Amino acid sequence: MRGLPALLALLLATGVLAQESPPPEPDGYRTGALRAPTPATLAGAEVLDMAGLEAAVAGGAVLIDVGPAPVKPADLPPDRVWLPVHRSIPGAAWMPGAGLGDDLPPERAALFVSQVEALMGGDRARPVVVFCQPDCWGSWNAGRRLVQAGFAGVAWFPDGVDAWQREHPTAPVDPMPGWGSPPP
Amino acid sequence: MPKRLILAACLVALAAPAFAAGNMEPDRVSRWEDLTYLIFGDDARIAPTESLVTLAAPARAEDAALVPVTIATAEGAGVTGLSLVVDENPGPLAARLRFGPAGDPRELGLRVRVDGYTNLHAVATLADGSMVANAVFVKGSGGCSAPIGLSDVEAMADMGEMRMKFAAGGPEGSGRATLMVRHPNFNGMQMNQVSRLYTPARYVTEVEVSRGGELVFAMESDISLATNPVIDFLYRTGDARPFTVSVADSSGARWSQEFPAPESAVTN
Repeated sequence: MRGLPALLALLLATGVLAQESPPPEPDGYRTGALRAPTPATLAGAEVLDMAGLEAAVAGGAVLIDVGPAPVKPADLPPDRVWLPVHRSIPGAAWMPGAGLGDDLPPERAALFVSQVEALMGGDRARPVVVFCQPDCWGSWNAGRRLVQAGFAGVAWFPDGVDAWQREHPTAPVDPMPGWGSPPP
Repeated sequence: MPKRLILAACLVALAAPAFAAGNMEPDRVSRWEDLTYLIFGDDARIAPTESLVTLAAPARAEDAALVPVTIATAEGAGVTGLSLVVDENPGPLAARLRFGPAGDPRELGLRVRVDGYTNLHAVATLADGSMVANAVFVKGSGGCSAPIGLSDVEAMADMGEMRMKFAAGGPEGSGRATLMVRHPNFNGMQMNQVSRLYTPARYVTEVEVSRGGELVFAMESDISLATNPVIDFLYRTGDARPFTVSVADSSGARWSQEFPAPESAVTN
């Protein structure tokens, strides 16, 4: 009997039980570890499931992937083959690192917004879908950033490329021109 | 010769489910072409094969950081070396092996990390220097950046410790063995979730197994090999001398250990 509360406490601490209910939305951007369970909602944005994403893609929504770029190990010897590739939903614009929280420098945040606006032909009311991977706050932050900037058709696809590739082909993408390589 | 053909036909039948030549989407094919030049040199010509080399791997990886892959090569094909490439990984080469007179390339098992849906290519080098390859497609993602689940210090405890297991039932003339090496094989892409810093790369670079100076195999390995490398291999039987295993990692550490041959227990 005595062991039961201790076991429960351990399960809660390790997140085994905590996974049952998603965390609430924070007041601002998520600044802690980006790979962690995400909220069920994003204020000002629609949350899409797979069917919702398929409809958005068919409807010509702008697709924004903020998944991270692999970081080349600093101490990888030069004779090791290093050729990263990023696969995404075909047609998506990839801006790795755009999902950082308050630690994204203001000029990068402004660049992200203007890049998305350019993709939408200047019309901030057009539908736009942000995504990365499951349990990735990057896309939540990026969606919030667009909502804050006054975009009206923001949607968030929390299941990310992992879910998409289970049912649809992916395509290799380069970082969006003008966004540049992510900071190391 | 007819006997060998029958054997090959049987192998084809047995291996049928995992026998596809990988995923042939154009961008995956062109990535493989790019990789062949980068890994095997500008002059590399690698012919596809469905009979000389076969691979088996789970179609959907339960744990993308630990995907078991079995490679089989046809008897009499004259295989002198085998390489395993995880096409879509940022560091795609998992291992490159050279077999010696005490070794047998007919079966090899390794465990790799898979970062995204990918073809796995097994490339065999034949006695005349030519190369042939076969592929299998594996669905799994996130294996390269998956944290090990232990603190870095815990993951490095007992680094270099080895175990060797022998099993009965190898193909004629050979025995089956499994070598396990404790090593985190940090690939430099795993982030410590607390400090948000990347754990520096530190991975096994060489594994050599020999018997009384005769090589079983020598393996060069890279960051796509999973934590705590496990190698299933064949060795030629009828030799009572012990096995010597030596392992080196990217930080210059070296470990070596001797294991008594199973024959020595039986015959003496």
